[in-house]
Amino acid sequence: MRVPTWIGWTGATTVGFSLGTTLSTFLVGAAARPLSPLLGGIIFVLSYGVLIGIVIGLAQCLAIPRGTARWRVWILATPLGAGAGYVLASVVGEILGNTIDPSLNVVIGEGAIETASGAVVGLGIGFAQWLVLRRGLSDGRWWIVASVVGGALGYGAAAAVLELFDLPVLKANLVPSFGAILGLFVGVSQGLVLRPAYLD
Amino acid sequence: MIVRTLFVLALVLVSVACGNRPLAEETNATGSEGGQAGSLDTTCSPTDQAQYVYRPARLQVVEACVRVAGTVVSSSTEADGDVHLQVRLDPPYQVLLRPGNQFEDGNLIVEPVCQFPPLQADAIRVCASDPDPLLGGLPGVGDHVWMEGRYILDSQHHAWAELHPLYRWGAINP
Repeated sequence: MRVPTWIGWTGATTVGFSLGTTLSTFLVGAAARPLSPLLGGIIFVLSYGVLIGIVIGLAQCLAIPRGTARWRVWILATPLGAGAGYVLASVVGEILGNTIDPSLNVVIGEGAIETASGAVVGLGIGFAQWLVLRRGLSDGRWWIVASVVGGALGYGAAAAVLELFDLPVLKANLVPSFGAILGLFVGVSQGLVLRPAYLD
Repeated sequence: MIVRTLFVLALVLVSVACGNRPLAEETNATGSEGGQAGSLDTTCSPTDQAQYVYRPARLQVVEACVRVAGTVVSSSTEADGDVHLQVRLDPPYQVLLRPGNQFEDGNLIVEPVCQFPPLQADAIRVCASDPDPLLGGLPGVGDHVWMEGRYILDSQHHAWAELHPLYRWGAINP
């Protein structure tokens, strides 16, 4: 089944991030503790990102414009990009966290950390997907930029909404809410680049 | 071409991973602050959980391990992978509270760390490297319990007092 508009893309990406983050949090969190000592937890983070990427890739396959990308390669590339993105983001986030003065306003300090880390997650996913898309999409060069911007805004917005606004519905569903907010921003941003492909 | 590029991406990933190491544990305590605990029981033994606290510089360590008793009044999960417990301390332990704790309704904050993979980027790797977070369940709202943990002041949140991380706990029989 294909949803023939870029709004469908946004929906698929939002669901993919939300479901992927939720599944990965509970499955990897429950089963991957034996991986924790390996490379200081990096293999654990890699597993966490790859599982998120598998679900995102599958969800986006339902909405990708016909003839734009080979779905088998898409499903391979997205988890690799997400795994790399989450590993690099965890390193960037940790370095920034230990560099930024903790007495700095928490909104500014944490905002900078989460936005920068989200950009790195977007870079990983966007770059891997661009490798698959670049021949099928006329404006493919903007894919990486859109993914970086969506990741940065999404990660920053998700952290801010959950930290600053005491909304019981979101707090009670912390993990899926975080994934959905992140996915919404990435989906809208990527969808704007994909929009012409739906008109072809 | 695509497969080759993805392979290169995987190699970059592994090389980044190999260059990463766990960060050192923050263990500094301030002498004057340490006296605040007074006659409280500070003889408990820390576990290894303190080294899995992210951004350790945000927490000012007062005592390496303190034992308290009180009633859990709320429990919530946080994006940093910690669980945030509010504990109404029994009277002998209320000396541990600071003015900042009024922002939490006069309760002590108790945080078992790394209860699930964090969403917050600065905590992801640190928690991922924790092989043995405090498991076996946490106290529920309304439970009267004893708890042992590191006594700190949170510089990012009004310098309120916390047990962070929580090392162990148990029910107090009525």
